[in-house]
Amino acid sequence: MSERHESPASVLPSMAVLDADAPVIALAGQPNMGKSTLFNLLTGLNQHVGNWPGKTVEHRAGHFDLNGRKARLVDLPGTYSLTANSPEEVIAREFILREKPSVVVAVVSAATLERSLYLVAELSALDAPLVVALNMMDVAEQEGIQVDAHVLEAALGVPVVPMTASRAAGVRELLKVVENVLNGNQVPRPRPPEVRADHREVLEKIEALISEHVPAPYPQAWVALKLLEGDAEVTRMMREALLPETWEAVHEILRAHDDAFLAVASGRYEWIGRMLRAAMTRPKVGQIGLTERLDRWAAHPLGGLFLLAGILGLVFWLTFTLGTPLQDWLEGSVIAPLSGLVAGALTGAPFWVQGLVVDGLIGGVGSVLTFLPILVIFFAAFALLEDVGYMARAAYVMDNLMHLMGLHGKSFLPLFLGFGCNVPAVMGTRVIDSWPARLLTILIAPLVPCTARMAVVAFIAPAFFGANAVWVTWGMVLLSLLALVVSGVALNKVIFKGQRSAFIMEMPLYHIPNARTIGLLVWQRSLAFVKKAGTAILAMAMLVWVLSYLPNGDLNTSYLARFGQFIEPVGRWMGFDWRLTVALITSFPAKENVIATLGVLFGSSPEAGLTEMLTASFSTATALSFLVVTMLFIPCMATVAVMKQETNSWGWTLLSVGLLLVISIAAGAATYHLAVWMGL
Amino acid sequence: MRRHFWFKRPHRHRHYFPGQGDATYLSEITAGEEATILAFHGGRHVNSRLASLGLTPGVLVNMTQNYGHGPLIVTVRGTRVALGRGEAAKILVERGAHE
Repeated sequence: MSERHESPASVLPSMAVLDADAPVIALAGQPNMGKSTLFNLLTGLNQHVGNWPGKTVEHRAGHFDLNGRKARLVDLPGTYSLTANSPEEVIAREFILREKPSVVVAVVSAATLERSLYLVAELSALDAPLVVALNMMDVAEQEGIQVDAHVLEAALGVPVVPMTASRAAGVRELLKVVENVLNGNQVPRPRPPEVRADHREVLEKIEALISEHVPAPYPQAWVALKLLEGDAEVTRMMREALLPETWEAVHEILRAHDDAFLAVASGRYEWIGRMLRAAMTRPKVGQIGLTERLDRWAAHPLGGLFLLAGILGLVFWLTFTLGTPLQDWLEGSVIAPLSGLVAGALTGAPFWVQGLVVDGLIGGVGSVLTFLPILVIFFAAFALLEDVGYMARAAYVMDNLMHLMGLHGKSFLPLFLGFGCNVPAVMGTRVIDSWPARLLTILIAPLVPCTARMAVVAFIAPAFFGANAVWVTWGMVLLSLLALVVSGVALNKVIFKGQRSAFIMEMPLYHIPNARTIGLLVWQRSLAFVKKAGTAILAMAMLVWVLSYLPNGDLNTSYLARFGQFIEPVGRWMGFDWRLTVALITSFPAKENVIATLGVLFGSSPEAGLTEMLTASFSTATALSFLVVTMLFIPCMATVAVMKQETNSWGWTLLSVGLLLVISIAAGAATYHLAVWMGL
Repeated sequence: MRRHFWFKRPHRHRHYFPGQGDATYLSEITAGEEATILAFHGGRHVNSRLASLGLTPGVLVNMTQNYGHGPLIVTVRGTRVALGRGEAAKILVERGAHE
């Protein structure tokens, strides 16, 4: 299956509209080079996060003050090369070639200079005004590596500015150089690498064949090189642009040299080697650095798993010990008084206005927003682990387990995020580089028990199981994860025929986290969640309220109740009556609605005796089956919305929803009958 | 199993190591050992990604971690790269530095 995957843009970057005359500076760089740190440092909160048009790749742009002049900064996706291996690489090079930014700043790391210059080698072939930001000078120094920026500058032919973005050192010098290039006081003259000697003749032949036929704005030499590299996008473009017989001639040459990309890559590394011999001195190998010492634990096949389990435990413990009281406080001291206040203010208004605002708006959206403290803590912990460099280790030690499902380690990261909320989990699958693996991860992500579902379990389990509630809760989590693994294995066998994508991942050096980077990440993720609560969840909460109110204002005879009674026979399989069935259905707008709905249906607030009424009305078997179904039921509306957005397919989205519906009903019915048989 | 496959088709890579059989797959290299990459047997897409992370024919890699099962870590061009065992089993190497 190919990596191409089109999707409509949810947010179009407002490139051309905003300050059309401000110069555009593009930030390019490989992952883990501190590119985001530099971007955040320059733009602060003056940034906008969206999607690249037509792609599910994050687009970040902002503006900053370039010595008294407003400039726009575009953060290109972090890529190791500019060959069309993924949408990110195509976006980065298309932006440089088509939008022609005034300056392209290539962020490289002095600590891993040899590899990070690979992208510079590619960038210098693009005819763009290039400036190299030699970042992470502090880490390099720590590792005993010395880089002479002046020598490197002379060798590359473009300005090189040493800096340490995490300490904001060297940024002023970088901006000065960017300004010089903008004003024409400094002209970068990159000297791009040549292909390895044994393929030069072939390259010339291709270039001669395609000359005069290369579509604008692509440079002819670059297109010839990309053809030789076997770049899928450029190959497709030239097949359409050339006359059939010319293309046949080109194709013949390419077929005879199908390993030519290695000659091209080797040519780049030879070029890099020449730069480094002049500009860099490094200590003899054998010195054991901090990263290696830490990895003996963090990446150990067994020790690493224990460490990961410990870290996860700590994150959950922190989330719930700090977050739950905050949530309760928001619920009791903010949302409830607000409802009272608004209800008082609306006494003169028609009854339905009051109900819509108080029960629909504040009750629905408000209860979702009370999860924000829990999510903020969770996002912060996640961002910290990401920024330190630990997440790559977590993916590494989980690789074996993920193989069971035909996935590899990288899929673990978004699934972990799912414990907080399934919405960022589905969006987080963007880190997975192959589309089949990403799709499979999206399909099973809703089986990760999110905090909202845990809230329902935390309410119902103690009511029915008393001191054993902890074990029931853990059992529910394990059951969800078991369902996740089983459906992953099954989906992989049936849909993907057991194919598996390659696990190739950089293990970055550990480094001290940057508070600004973490803060902005938490801010952006929380903002996205609040936006969702204010739009999709708001609409659904209103709809549920209207359905529970019409036609005559009585819940027990409302459309919602009628619908619940209509599908009650299905609920019966699992031991539910119509009220539990309706409560389950209202978990679609937001999982935690279950408690609120039960409260409304039993005519009491959750605080005043709902637990007693529940234990009096239902058997333990019903409660157990209700918990199981709640854990495994169809994803919430917000999750379904992002699944549609990320897969760009109602087919896959509905497959996941249908699968979960079947799994949850089957598991609920089995649990109920087993529990009854056991005499519960 | 990989070895078996290897012995059955001895001519395919003969030009890489005339006269001696010190070639093996990267997955067989133990931690702390060095090896020189000879060739890739994976698909072009995977090879291209490996190249962008510094793994090209002729480069010297140092095996940083290999427990004989599961993924492994190699250090190449000053960067640590984690590879799945399946990927490492498709990279033909020669033990030690070349020449």
